[in-house]
Amino acid sequence: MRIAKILFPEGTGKMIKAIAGILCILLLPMFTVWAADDVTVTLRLDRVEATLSDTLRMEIHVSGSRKSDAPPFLHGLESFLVTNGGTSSRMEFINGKVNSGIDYTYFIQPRKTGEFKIGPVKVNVDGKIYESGSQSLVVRTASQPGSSDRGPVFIQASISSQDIFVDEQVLYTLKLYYRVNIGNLSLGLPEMEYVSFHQLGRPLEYQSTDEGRTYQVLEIRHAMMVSKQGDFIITPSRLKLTVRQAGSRSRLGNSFNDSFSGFSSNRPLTLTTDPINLHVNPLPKEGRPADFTGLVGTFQVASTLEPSSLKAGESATLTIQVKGRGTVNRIPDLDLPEMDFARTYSDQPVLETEQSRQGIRGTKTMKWALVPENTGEYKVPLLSLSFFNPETKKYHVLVTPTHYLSVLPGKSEESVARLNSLSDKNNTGGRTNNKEIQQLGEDILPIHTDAVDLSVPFRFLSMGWVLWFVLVGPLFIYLMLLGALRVQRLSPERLAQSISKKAFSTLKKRCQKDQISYEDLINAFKDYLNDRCSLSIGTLTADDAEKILRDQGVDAETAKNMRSLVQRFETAVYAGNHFNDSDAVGELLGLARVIEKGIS
Amino acid sequence: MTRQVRHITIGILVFVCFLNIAHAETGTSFVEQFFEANQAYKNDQFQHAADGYIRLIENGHGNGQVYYNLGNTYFRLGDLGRAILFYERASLLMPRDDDLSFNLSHARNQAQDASIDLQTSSLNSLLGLGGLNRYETFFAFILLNVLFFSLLCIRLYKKTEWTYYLSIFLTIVISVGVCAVTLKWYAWATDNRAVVLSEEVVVQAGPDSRDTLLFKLHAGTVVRLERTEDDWTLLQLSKDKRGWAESKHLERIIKRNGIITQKKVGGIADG
Repeated sequence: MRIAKILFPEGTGKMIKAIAGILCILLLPMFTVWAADDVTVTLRLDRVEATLSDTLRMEIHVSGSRKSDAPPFLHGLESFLVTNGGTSSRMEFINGKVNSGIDYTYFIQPRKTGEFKIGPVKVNVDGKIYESGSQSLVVRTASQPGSSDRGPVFIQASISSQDIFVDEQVLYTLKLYYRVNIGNLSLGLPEMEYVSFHQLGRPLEYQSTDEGRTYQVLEIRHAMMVSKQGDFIITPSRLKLTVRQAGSRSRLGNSFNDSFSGFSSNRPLTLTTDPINLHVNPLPKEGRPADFTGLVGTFQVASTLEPSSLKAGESATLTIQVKGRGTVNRIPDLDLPEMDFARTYSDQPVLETEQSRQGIRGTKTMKWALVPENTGEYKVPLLSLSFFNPETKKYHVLVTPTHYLSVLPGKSEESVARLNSLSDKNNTGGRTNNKEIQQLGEDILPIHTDAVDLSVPFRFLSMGWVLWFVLVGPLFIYLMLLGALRVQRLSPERLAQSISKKAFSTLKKRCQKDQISYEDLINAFKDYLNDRCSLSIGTLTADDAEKILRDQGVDAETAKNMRSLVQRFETAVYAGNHFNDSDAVGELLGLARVIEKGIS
Repeated sequence: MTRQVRHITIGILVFVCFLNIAHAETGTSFVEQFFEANQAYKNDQFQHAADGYIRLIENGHGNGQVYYNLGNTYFRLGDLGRAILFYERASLLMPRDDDLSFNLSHARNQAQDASIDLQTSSLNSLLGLGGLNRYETFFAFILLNVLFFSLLCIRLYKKTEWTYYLSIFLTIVISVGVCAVTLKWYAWATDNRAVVLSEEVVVQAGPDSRDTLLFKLHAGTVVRLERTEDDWTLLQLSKDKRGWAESKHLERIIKRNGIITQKKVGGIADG
């Protein structure tokens, strides 16, 4: 005890327990490994009886091992649709023993009725094969429509008529009834030769009551057409979906009111519709119009002509619309016959289709431009179209309404007439129908190979001085010629006249010198007279001066005064007086002025 | 007319003819080069043909035909940018050539970018200058100039009534001619168009590769150059399409190395 107390003092008990617990957890894998030596495989089905519309849960429990070398090998499931529901491992303590295991979950749906033996299941653990036992399962037919139990989810298919004509459009309707949570829907329509389906719009959701139970209904509509006559069986449509479980326990009806593992909440389900018998009649030969193009359904035709009154050469538009439900893709392009009174230009027809819940509808619009050439009142030709109506089981012919075109005289009538005459001259035998030239290819044109002159014309102008020379040259030449001409035109008479005009100013300049001599004054006056009167006197005397002046028309007094002035200058020269006084110069210039005016 | 005037006139005519003949002279070797290049083109040796045409241009024989053929050659080589460049240069020399207009239009249609007409001036169109190259315009004006001053010279010697009215008419015509030549010269002097030569050119907001990418241009697009900084050029297509691109991707249609003088830049003579 003392030793124990020494080893385990007070208060250490709790600690020991804690340590022991930790050790147990740490040693647990050792026990697990040890327990793996005892491997067992168990197969469990959630029920032993089912219908074709049920999905069963199949669980495979592998105990003694938390892993297997490969997925389990399942026997006896040849007549079932198998969907993997997942894998989980587990470890549990029971009565102090540790058990570990692995669970495989599968969902199986029977494809046919009968009694089946499910299993055994083989599992490979550490290279050793372990087998489970097997279970029996009885599969009965699904609940019939009208019966009180159709389950929480079921699907119905129907067609609007089971006795139809070739290419008749009928409605194929799928209705999914459900009162549980569903998801992941995937629809597979029947795949049959000669039968085509076109979905009409988005699925419709509403509530409905069946056998006193309220269901949510998902309705999907398709337009169905059969292109061959005969008896057909529309094979079932297949709808795959997942049923969602809200909790560990099912809130479904009878079929799903079974125990579920707490780890799985979704259950895959595949629903199929019942097959539908269909009889397809051929289109009757009796009463079939010659222009029938296979149009089946109900159709109407409408047309407009705008404007109905116009001038020659102007354009009116004829619009024809064919609309209806059925084989709208087969609405033919109507041909407008040639008209004597107008040229016609057709537009590209336009087909517009729409999908309503009643089927596929379509409208084809065709337009023509009519250009009348002559004035008058004209009737536009009627156009017809035939179709087969499955409702009346008869062929019908649609005819466009009658339109009249009133053509008034117009400006372009003459040009149209001219065009017509040209057309006649070309001997075409009628109206030409010219087409726009079609471009068939594109490429560059070839290189130029003509090398007569490899120089650039007038490139010599690129030299600046040449450019300036040829620009300024003519002006320069003109000015030179002008100058030359002026020089050439100066005659001796004009020269003399010019000198004469300048004579007085020359005299005045010569007299303005300081201390000019009397001799110079005489010479200056002599030169003045020579210039003014175009003379060539060598020596001037007083008498010569008077005489010349009188000859030139100067009055006698002025001539006499000049005589006496010249005589006075001569006397001064002979007397030895070389320089004049300013009065003499003024006197000379004053007389010269008078003489200038007096000379004729 | 006096003997003196006659001598002057004859002297001028002889001088002009001499200038023309001197420039029109084409050596046999150049003709041979031309035919050799043409033959190479026909034999699908387009690179050889291009070399031949470029040699001719370098030697001063770059007329419109040679530029046109070179444009064709580059088109065949798949170099759309250079094809359009040389077609544009050819169109400066022979603007009335229908083959050239067709091929230039076809080449522009091959380009990825929509073409914008950066050259047409309404005033040029009004004066009918679009159909004349600048040499032809200058020559026509020179003829008009010579005619006008000849008439004035005649009037120096003989002042008749018809010379009087003719001189008035020619005065009006030569006034219009001065405007036309000025416009043509201005259009040529300010023609700063260039052609994108690279397959794809990035145009950015500034002359730096880190600037924002504005848009991309492709070979054959004609742009207008504004200014150059280092290796970058500011270009413009329209008011809202302008930016900087590396200069190496572009080549001017008219090299700016002289006003009218012919110079060689990058092996290609000034158009």
